[in-house]
Amino acid sequence: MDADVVLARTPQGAAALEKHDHDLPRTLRHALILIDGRSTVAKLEQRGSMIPDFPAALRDLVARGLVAPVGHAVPAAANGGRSLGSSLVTLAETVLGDKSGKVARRLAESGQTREELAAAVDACYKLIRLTIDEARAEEFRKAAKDLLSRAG
Amino acid sequence: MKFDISLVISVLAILVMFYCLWLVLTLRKNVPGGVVGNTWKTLTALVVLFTLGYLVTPFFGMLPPMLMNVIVSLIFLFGAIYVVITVKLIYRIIEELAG
Repeated sequence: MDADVVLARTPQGAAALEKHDHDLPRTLRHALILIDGRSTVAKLEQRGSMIPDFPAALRDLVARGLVAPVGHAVPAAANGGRSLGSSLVTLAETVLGDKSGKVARRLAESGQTREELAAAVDACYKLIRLTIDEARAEEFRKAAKDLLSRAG
Repeated sequence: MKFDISLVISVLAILVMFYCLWLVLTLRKNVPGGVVGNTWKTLTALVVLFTLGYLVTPFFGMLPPMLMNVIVSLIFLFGAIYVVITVKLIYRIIEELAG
């Protein structure tokens, strides 16, 4: 798995953790607890080094749909806007799947400053809420705000 | 069935309603869900109902008056429901865009 990818719990992952899903092996449960929606795979592997075969556990969580990539780590300010823009496009594609077309296009066509991207995220949130799915709109906005805040 | 002005108007109404049916069905893929997508399904069902109701109008002269009155009343009722849903949807969109 790409070490720069940021992983986040999906709604199913959050639900599995909340209801103490007994079908979830202990190793996966511990790995799932470490997923915070902000850390890259590389950071998670450092933190989860005490968990046996942690990288396999991460792959298993992704395969089970409990965890999903929400973008790439934002590199330092040098690449700034462009990287953030493409991370947001990746996020839209992850959250919306085959329905991401209009949203991804809108994000790709927006300006590349943090303010312009924040405005594009707000517009996309409304678009998703109105025409795709209200729950996924909330999921997209939360993850996008996380990305924007990490970009500083 | 008499060929008079009301028949011409009925045929025009049916054509417009078929156009409306084509619109709601073809545009549906652009709004798969969300606030608009969910309401769109209800509006589509109502348009199908109207299309069926409108198709009966040229044959009104052949129907018993009681049945004709019921059909007209139902078209009015569902027309009113359609308008309420549309107004609420427009207001919801305005709220979302303004919020």
